[in-house]
Amino acid sequence: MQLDIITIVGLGAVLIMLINLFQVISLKSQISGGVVGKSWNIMILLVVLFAAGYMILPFLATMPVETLRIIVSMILFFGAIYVLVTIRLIYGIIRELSA
Amino acid sequence: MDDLQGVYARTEAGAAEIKARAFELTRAQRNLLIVIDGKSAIGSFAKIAGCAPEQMGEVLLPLVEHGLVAPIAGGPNRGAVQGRPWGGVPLPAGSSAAQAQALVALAERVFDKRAGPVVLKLEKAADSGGDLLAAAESAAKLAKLTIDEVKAQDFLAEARRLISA
Repeated sequence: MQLDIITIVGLGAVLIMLINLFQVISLKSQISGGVVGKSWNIMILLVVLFAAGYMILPFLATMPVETLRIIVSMILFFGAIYVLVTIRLIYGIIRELSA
Repeated sequence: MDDLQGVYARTEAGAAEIKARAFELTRAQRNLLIVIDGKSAIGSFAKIAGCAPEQMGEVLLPLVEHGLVAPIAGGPNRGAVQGRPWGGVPLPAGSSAAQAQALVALAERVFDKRAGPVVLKLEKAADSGGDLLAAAESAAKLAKLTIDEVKAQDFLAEARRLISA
């Protein structure tokens, strides 16, 4: 594996996503339900998907372009869902705290 | 239990047990230990202990055996349990500490094993001498966000009745 700037950034992304995965699962025990709990299960699922998707980053150079395009589009799609869930969660928290 | 009108008071060991949790008490026993006030008939605590009145003997006996509560002969409120608010559960004797203990018992009954953060919040408010109603509302918000929305509403409604009565 060639250690260029793309590989280093990719490995950094994988590392950070693994930290995210650990944290999102660790916090689950403190969030058993409620407004946050409902969104949290979806967020765990998305982080798992991201972590799995990011694992292919070190192998980008060896992949066919068509496969690569599909994977990137999937990551973008689930990224958009993640942002949507996060925004709705923050909105829900603000609404509850201001009620 | 034959005598639901018997009056019991928490002993010093019982007061220590609330914080220490040294004995492996059931939730009903712990709830009873927290709310027992030395004035009200034991039968009136059935609802908050989370059992039928006829099961109160089973709940009470270990507390007596461990010396955590003791009977009081002819308590002042004997038989005066009818017509009380909040499902017949006697209200605390007015002190904020007693109210805080009742709120903790309520939280443990409503949220069961997930009551930890709510109880912690209530105990902090009680320790700092803060407003119990504000603490209960804040605890309910926390519960609504992280435990259960419906149970949080139930908790807040009962907490308001308990504090205002």
